[in-house]
Amino acid sequence: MADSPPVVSVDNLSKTYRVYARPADRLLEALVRRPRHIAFNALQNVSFAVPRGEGLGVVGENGAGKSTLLKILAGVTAPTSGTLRLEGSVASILELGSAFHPELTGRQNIVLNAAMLGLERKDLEERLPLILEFSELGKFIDQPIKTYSTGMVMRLGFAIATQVEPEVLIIDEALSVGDGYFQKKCMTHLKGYVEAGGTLLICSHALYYISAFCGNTLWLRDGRVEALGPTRQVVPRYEAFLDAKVERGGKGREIVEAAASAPARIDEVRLLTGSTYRFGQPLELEVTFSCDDPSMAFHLAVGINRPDEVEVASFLSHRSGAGPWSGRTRHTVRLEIPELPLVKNTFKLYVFLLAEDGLHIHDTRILEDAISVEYDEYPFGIVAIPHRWRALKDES
Amino acid sequence: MLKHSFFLLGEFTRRDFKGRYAGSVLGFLWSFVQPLWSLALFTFLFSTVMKVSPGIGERTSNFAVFLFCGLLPWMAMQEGILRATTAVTDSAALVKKMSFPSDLLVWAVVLAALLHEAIALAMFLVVLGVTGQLALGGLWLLLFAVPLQVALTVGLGFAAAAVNVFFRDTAQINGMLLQAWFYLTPIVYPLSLVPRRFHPILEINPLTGLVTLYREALLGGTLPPLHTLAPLIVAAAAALAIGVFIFRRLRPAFADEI
Repeated sequence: MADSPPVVSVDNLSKTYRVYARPADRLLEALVRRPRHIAFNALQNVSFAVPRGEGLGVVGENGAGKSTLLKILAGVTAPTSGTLRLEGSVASILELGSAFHPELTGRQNIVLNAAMLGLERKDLEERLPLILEFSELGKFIDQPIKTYSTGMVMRLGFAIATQVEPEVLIIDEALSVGDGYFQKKCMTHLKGYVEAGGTLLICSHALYYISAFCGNTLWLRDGRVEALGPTRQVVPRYEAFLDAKVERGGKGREIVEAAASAPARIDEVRLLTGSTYRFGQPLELEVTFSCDDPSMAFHLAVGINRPDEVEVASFLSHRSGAGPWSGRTRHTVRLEIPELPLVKNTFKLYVFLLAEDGLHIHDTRILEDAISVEYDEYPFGIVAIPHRWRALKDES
Repeated sequence: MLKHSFFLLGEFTRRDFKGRYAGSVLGFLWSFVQPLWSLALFTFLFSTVMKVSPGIGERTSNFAVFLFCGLLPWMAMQEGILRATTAVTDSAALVKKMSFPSDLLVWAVVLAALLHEAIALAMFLVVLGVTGQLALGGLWLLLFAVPLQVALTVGLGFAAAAVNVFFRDTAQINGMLLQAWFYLTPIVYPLSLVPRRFHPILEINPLTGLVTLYREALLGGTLPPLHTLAPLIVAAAAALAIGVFIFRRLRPAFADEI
């Protein structure tokens, strides 16, 4: 699939909205030509490509620009700058059922909605029974839409989308369709659609869906691309980011700064192996610290904590037979972990500069979201422990 | 592509027509009641109370018949323009969420207004037939009248619909302008009652040409002289060109503004 040309390619896409305080400001600006608006950059320099038969998930917090991006792809709104190329037919469900007329019956709405999504009259005649069957609305199909429950409206909306069969399908937060049974049915359908060569763009807060359909994920943050890559790497990072945010929101972010007058302080903590890991990879950390008096001796301690402050592991130089370090005013010490046993989540690092006794703390450095660990399957727990299973002979 | 547009236009018009009468007891019958109601009120006011009569130079001496000929195109234009003004803003959910040619929203309401006119026209022809006043000789003139009327309505409708997205006061202003236009057009009074010095104003009014054309068409007349129709032809062409231009120019920003 990698060498097939992209069906969707987006290059340097930006979108700026003009926000006016009052409607009159817009009129005045048009007449006097003096700017009276505030520019809001909803999207900035977004680029990506999606090959045929693949799914791209779009994640990000509210207001990150996901909907704006999908709206541009769907052709509802135009980008301010940048280019966008889509091969073949595109259908978008930006909101299931938004196009329905409440006074018309389900059946009457099917015709208009399917026509708007690009279905020809003769195709519609063939597919109407399939839409009716998929929606499972039974006799309600000839009742006005206004009598439907939200779940019924969404079922009908999705049923129509299933029969339009575009080459590119854009879905925005539309997957929370009805009950569990119907959701499963929709998922089965989407799976089949992608397997048959359909290209899918999904924006959803339900990361489960994105993991299920999308090989790649785009993470938007404040209108910019925060990450773009394999879903199994991006989604865990995004999840970790969200978890960390909840933590910060709850407890308040605390960064411990060294007092300027302290006799010894940590100058720098560097993660030589980067910030993203997979299970079993090595981690190397370098700590540079300085002191006023070369005769002072120091130990170091490093702690790995989960965002919710569950202590996961600790590394103490005075317990490992290393150090104490002395004889200079500037030291660089490296911590090497050959195999990281962590399986998922984001972790924070605590680095302590300790006195020779290993008790008194000279300086502390906390690295929020320092390590994020990606996973393929959804594992339980924090760490993986080497083990084996053995079936014993039946004694009876 | 064009075929699909027509399919879509048909569905939009149907949505408009059905949606409007859905849930009302008389439903579709309102299409018949409304023009009759206007006709009854105007006839009472102008013919019975104020004693206006079509007078010399007109093809009928019956005020109601005279009035209805002018009222037919007027009601279709008024309905078309007023509903076109809010056609895009009323369908905000569609415009924001779906990619489709939004000019169809304007075409659909104009087409729906035209269907109402066709119903009223059919009723009118039946009444003329029953009262022995039917003259079919001029009906071919509608082949000129209707396209000119549609061009004028759609052109003004496009401009109003697009501007109303950005400037919602358009709908209010339009209502007032249309009210003035109605009284400045010889619909409820014959041109012969207007003092001479005001004739130039009424003669450059494109609707004067339109109602004249309708009267000739429905009362067995002939093609009016070119100078009567010139303002109508020029206005229809200009409105269509300018309206389409404004609509196309502003359309890319619709979804962002609504």
